[in-house]
Amino acid sequence: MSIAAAPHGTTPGARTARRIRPLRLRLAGVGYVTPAMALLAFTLILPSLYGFYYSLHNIRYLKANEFIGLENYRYLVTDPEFWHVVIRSTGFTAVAVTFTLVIALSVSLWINQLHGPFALFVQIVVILPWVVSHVVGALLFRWVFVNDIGLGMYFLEQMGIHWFKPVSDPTTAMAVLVGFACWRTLGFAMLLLLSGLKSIPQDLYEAAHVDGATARQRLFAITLPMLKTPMLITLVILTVSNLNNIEGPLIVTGGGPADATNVLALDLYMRAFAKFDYNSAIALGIGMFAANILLALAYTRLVKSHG
Amino acid sequence: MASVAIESVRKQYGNVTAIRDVSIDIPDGKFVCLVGPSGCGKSTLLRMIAGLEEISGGEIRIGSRVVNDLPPKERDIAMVFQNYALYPHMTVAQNMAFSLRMRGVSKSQIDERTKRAAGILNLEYLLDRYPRQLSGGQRQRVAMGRAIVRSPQVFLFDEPLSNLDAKLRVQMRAEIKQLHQRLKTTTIYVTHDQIEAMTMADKIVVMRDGIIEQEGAPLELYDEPANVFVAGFIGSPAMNLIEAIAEGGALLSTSREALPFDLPRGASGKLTCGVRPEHIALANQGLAGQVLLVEPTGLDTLVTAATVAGPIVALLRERTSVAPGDHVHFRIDQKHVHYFDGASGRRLQ
Amino acid sequence: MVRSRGLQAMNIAMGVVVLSIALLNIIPLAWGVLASFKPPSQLITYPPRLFDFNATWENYISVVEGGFMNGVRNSTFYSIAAVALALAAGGLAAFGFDRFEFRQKGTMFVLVIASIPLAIGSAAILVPKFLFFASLGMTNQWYTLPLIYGVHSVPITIWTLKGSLEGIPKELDEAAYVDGASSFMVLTRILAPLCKPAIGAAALLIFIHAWNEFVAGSVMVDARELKPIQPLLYQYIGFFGREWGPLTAAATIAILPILLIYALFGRLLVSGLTRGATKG
Repeated sequence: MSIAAAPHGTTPGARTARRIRPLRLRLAGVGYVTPAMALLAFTLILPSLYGFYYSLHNIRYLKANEFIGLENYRYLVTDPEFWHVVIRSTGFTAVAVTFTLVIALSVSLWINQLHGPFALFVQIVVILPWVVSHVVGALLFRWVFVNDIGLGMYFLEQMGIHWFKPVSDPTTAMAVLVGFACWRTLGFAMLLLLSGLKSIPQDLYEAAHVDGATARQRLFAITLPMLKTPMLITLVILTVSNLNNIEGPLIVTGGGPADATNVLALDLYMRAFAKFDYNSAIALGIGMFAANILLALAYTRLVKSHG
Repeated sequence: MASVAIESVRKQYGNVTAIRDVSIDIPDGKFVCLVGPSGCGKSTLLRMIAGLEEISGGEIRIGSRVVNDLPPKERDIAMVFQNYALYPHMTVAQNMAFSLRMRGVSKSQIDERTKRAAGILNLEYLLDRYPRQLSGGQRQRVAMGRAIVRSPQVFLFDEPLSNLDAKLRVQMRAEIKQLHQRLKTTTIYVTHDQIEAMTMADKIVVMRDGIIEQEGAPLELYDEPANVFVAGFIGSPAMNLIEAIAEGGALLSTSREALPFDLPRGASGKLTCGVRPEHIALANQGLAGQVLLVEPTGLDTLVTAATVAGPIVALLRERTSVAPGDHVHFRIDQKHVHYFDGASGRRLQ
Repeated sequence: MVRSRGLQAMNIAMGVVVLSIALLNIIPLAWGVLASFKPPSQLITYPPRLFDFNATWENYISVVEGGFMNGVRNSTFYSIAAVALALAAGGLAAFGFDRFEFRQKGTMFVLVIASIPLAIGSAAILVPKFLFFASLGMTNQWYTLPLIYGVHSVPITIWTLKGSLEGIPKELDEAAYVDGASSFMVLTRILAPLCKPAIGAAALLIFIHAWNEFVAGSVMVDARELKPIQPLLYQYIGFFGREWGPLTAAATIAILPILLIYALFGRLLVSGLTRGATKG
């Protein structure tokens, strides 16, 4: 699983005027951030630069050989299958994120009015799939809900539904994948929205109450507008998480049947580590990284604007 | 113990000058108060002495050492903060012992000195408590205990009483003063409350907008304020300040009415007359006015009245029966009228 | 307050929705754990059996004999090392960002924030990272995965701990400086003890992240004796095929520490996951 909290709270670097310190302490500040920045540079920034350099070369035996310009990218975008994967991934991510966000929003509004140990209990249960590893989650999800002798199928049969063939029909396989994505991310999205709800000042509601606003009016005039940034942050996190999730398609559906659930992350993984086609894999990886950068920039702006 | 010398000190934040060319001499063992309205630079100056703010220009000496470039820990000072700044995860004893531990003092020494400091401040029974279990006054006392435990050369106080209620503030004021009389450690005390300054200090430094308006013994400042600002700032209730014009050998109000003040020799043009409320009394004749407000405190009574000189506040020692709306006359003690230049605000001799 | 009938119906409906979510979350885990104790013959019965089976350790024995515990050991070491690395680097950096001024601080901090989603979407950078590490000979080493796992968690650790530091008044630092502490002492003796809950939450999240990580673990190390638990589990899927007994047993072992953390530190975990949002 990926760990992340939605950091909406403060503007980075915002300080009052009285915070200027003697010179030696300023140098100390640089010293304190250096190890972390060096580590981030080494495992995040350098590899991406290095990867871009590699992507302009012919890669054989994990080595960059002759310079071939944008050939790797050209090869990738002229592959018609690649565009199917892009369209499929976009659709998958859009549907999964929309479903998750809508359910998470309505449920978190309800949980927000709970109090005490029960509220905590609900939060703990709801977040369970996010803290369990994606491999285990995907494996058990498949075993229980997808497997033809699993519990889920048994219940469907008891209800008289026989047409649902989760992994052999392309459409239902995609539905299963979307279902897994929602199952995996719903709880986390809820926690993010819930903490956004908790940070809305209570006196706004009291004022609205005194002004005679109904529950409905309070929802549309206060809650939803105040929740806009947390919702956008959640949206970005969910998009990044689904776009980059490999374990789901790899384990739940295996990309099949016949590529019906082959999405970008899985395609990337397969190109590189099953087909060992590093030339197209690195072009795809750099492309996805660029998309991640855009999402990261959106995220950074949102976090700052919320401070 | 040591003297503190501040010479031509400046503090600059980018283009903003917080302190410009301030020089103060603080003799060994004295209690000096820095007072002024908020934003006058008094706290910044204190933090520069402590080593918590960089010094943009000038020199600060503690004893014979120039401390400009020394970190706080090498300056041998102790500081009491406005919000006490007690370490929440340490007991009272641990809070007091922290500075000794940082200096590598032996365990037995730490125990002994902590106990002694606690004894001085009556904190023995609180030693095992945590700050959150203490009342405001007790926290204040622990903060002082933390300061005195290692017998520093200088105590710095940054508005230490501003979070206490009025009654406790008066009590702690007395305790701090007694503590100083007992320990005789050089003390620099920042406050915006001029009464604290008046009651505690050997010397008061009045600051405004990063400069020193006046420095001197409390009563000196009270009796001979150097300018209009100090005149208005020191003393409670505040001095009456009346805008006037010297013209044709007489003193006129801004609305050209004659004022009952002697014209100081050689004065001309605009000036400001100052008279403290206790130097105004009710009389059968004199400055006429209509009472606006009567405020009895029990000990004395404040009467505010509208006059040709503007609203005037008089402090009456005896009980009075005047009521709002009454017409009264004030007699002003001419010996105690202060005159200030209208343009510069400086005192006229 | 008078509640309308519609509102009440809505309330009940939402309660049902939350209940079903809870069931959908718990059932696969519970069912998987149950399955791991069933003998093979009773695993494939249809309709599925709930409790009437003969509990057995058989599946666990075959998993352990398959060398799975080696993965558990590896992952334990990787996760603990990642916690140490991320807490150390992240804690120092959080202190630097929150308590000091220096050139380019704003830019660096934006970089840290931007790394949070980049770390979540680490699949994209997997191939470049693999090639980069391979060119330096840093794949297949004992430190490869702790390094990657630790650094992945550094941004969120910085953010979490900085949020906690912001709540501690600067006067405490100043008091400690005056008391003779160095800045490192201020961090370790004053601030760190006051950030204990945040540090604990961050440690849990780093541990869980490292324990659960699959993609880097399957790519960055090849040697079987270096494999962490999740890729091993994935290999079992290919290895055991439809033998759900050993698979669920391995999966149960793989989630055991997570469930343990859950049982012990549920509240801390929830607060850690949403910290930053509810700061102050």
